[in-house]
Amino acid sequence: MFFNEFRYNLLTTLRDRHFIMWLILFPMALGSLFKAAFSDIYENDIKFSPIPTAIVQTQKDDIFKEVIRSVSKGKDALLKVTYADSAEEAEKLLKDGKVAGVITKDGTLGLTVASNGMDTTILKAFTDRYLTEEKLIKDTLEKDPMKLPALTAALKDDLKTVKKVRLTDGVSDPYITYFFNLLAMVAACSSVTGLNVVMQNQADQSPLGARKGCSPTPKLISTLAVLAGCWLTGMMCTAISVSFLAFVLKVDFGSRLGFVYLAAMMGGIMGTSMGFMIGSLVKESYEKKNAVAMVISLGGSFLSGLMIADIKPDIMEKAPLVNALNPTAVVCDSFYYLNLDAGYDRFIGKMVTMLVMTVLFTAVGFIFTRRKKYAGL
Amino acid sequence: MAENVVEIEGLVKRYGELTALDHLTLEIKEGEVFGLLGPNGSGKTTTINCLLSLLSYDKGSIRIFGREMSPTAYDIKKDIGVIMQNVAVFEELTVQENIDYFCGLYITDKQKKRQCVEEAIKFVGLEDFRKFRPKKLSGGLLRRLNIACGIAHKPKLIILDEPTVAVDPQSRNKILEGIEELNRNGATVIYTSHYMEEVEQICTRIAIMDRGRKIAEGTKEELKAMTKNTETINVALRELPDEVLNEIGALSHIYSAEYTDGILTAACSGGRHNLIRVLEVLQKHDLHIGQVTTVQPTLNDVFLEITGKALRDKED
Ligand SMILES: Nc1ncnc2c1ncn2[C@@H]1O[C@H](COP(=O)(O)OP(=O)(O)O)[C@@H](O)[C@H]1O
Ligand SMILES: [Mg+2]
Repeated sequence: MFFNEFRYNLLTTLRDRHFIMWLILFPMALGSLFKAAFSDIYENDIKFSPIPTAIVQTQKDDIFKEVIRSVSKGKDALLKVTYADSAEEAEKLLKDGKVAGVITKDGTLGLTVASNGMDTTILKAFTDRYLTEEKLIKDTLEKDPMKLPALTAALKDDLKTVKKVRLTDGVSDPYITYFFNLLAMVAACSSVTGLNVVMQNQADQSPLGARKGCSPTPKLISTLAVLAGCWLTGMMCTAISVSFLAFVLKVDFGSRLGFVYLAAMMGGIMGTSMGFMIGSLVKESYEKKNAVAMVISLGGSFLSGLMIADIKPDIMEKAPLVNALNPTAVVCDSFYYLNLDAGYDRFIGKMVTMLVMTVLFTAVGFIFTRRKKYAGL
Repeated sequence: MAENVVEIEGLVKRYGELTALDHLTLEIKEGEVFGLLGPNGSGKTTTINCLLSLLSYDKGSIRIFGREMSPTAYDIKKDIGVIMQNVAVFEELTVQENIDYFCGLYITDKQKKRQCVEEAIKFVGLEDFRKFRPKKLSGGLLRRLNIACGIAHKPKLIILDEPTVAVDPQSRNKILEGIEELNRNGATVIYTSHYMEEVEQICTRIAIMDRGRKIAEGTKEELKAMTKNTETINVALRELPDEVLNEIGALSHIYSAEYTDGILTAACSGGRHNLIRVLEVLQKHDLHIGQVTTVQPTLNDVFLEITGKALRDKED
C-alpha cells in the first residue's frame, strides 16, 4: 500500500509540468543568467593584480633574476617588482606600505612581510615554490633555456589558484553567494510539491482526496508515502541544481562539493516539509496555498539576498532572528559556512537547524491534517 | 429475505443553517440496484459522502455489511467501490496507471492486481486508450475511466454518484449496461441520478429525494401506482374554445385538462378508451386535430404530485 502510493505520487510529481518548469528548468535558467552576468566581473576579479614586492639581491644569481623578471612582466604579472639596493631601503618601503613583502636573495632566499594578508600568502607560496623548484629551474635553464617561459607560466598559474582558493575560502566571493541563494531558493520553492501531501490526502481538498478517503489504505500510510515521495523529489531538484551549477556552468563550490550536495538535499527535504505545513495550515484552495508557499519561499530568498546580495548582512545585523528562522537563509548559510570555515561546526549547526525545522514542519503538517471526517467537502 | 447491505437511519446533516439531510432512512438489500433519484441539490451526494464516512453528520446511524461505518472501518471500505460525482483521477498518469493505482489501494497481491486492472480496462472498453492521459479523453471516456478506477478491485457494494453527467449517449448506454452486468455478477449497487429514465431503466428499487428528505420509495411500478395518473393525453389544436375545454375536463376519469401553447393536455386516472372519448368531443365541435400522443406516467408525475414541482426541466 505504501509503495503503491509512493511510486505513483513520485511519478505524478516528476511528470508535472510545473515541477519540471519551476524546480528544474527555472533554476537552470537563472543560474545561467547569473553566470553570464558575472562572467565579466569574474574574469576581471580573478585577474591577478600584481603584488608589489621589493627585491634585494646581494649575490649574483642569473636564474633568480630571470625568474623574477618573467613573473613580473606581461598582463598577468604576479609581482610588481621594485629593486632595492639595500636591506634597509627595502625595509623602509615595507614600512611605508609601498610593498607587501621583501624578497632577499643572498646565499639563501629570504622573505619579509608586513602583515598576514592574502598577498603574503601568495608571496610565501611563491618563495616556497621557488626553493623546491630551484634545482629543476636551474637544470632546465642549462639544458634548454627556451623552456623557462613555460615553467614560470606554470608557476604563475599555480599561484593564481592559490589566490582564487583564498578568495572563496577567506573573504567571501560576492558572486558565489548568488549561487548559494539560488540553491536555497530551489530548496524553499520545493515546498510547492509538498502541498500535494495535503491536496491528495484530504477529502475536503480535492476529488482525489475524497476518493482516496474511501479506500482501505489508512490515511497515515498514504500521507507518509506521499511525504516520502515529496522528500525524494525535493532532494532530486536541489541535487540537479547543484550538479548543473557545478558541472555545466562550472561554478566553483570549493573542495567540499559533497557537503554542498548534502546541505542542498537537506534543504529540499526541509522545503517540501514546509509545503506540507503550509498546505495544512492554509485551508483554502490550492491556488491560495500555492501563493502562500511562493510568497514565503521567494520572500525568504529575497531576505537572504537572492536579488540583492547586500541585504543579507543588514538583516543579520538588524534582525538576526529573521535570518535564523528564514528557511532560505538557513540553507544559504549552510553553504556559506561550508565555504568560509575550515571546520564544520557552524555548518553542522545549520544542518541541525534544517533538521529541526523539518521535524517541526512535518509535525505541524500531521497535526493539522489528522481530521478524518469533514464538515463539508 | 435478503440481508441489508446498507442501513441508514435517521440521518441528519446540516451545513450551517441549511439542513441538507433531514432524518433520512434507507435500507438497501443485497443484490439490489438501488436508485437515489432527486433534482440537483436534493442531497444525493451528501448522502453518499455521509455513507462513506467522509462527512460528519449531526444525527443518525450508518451500518454497512451489518457493521457500523467509520473512517477507519477499513474492512468495510475494502469491499466498497466508489465512483464519485467529481471525476477523481491523476492527470499525470495514463489510463492504465490510474486504474492500477486505485486498484493498488485495495489489492496488494501483484498478480491479482494486474488481472483486475486488465479486466477493468476491458470492462469499460478502454483497451485502445491504455496509454492516454485523462486530458486526452472525451467526457464519456473519462467517466468510464472513473468507473474502472472504482470497480477494478471487484467490490461487493458499488456506489455511483451521477456517473453519466456530461456523457454522450453511446457512453451512457455502455455505462448503464455495465452497471447491470456488475449487478448480475453479484454486486449490490447504489446509483444516484437526476435522470429519471436512467433510474427507471436499471434500478430495482428507487428512493425519490427532495430537499434532503425521502419523499417516496419502492419499485418503479409501486412508485407509479402512487399517482392517480394512469396516462396523459396530448392533442395539438390550433384553437380550443373554453366551453370545449370544460366539457373535456368534465369527462369521467379525466381529472385535469389544460390548453396551453396550442396543446391540450388531459390527465387521466383509470378508465378505458379515454383517448377516444376526448377525440369524440373535439370532433363533435369540428375542431382541426393535429398530432396526438399519449404518455404513460413517469417518475416525474410521482415527483410532481408529491412536491408540486417538476423533477427537472424537459431540456435538461
Ligand atoms: N460543502 C457544502 N457547504 C454548504 N452547503 C453544501 C455543501 N455541499 C452541499 N451543500 C448544499 O447541500 C444541498 C445538497 O447538496 P448535494 O448533496 O450536493 O445535492 P445533490 O447531490 O443531490 O445534487 C445543496 O443545497 C447544496 O447546496
Ligand atoms: Mg450530487
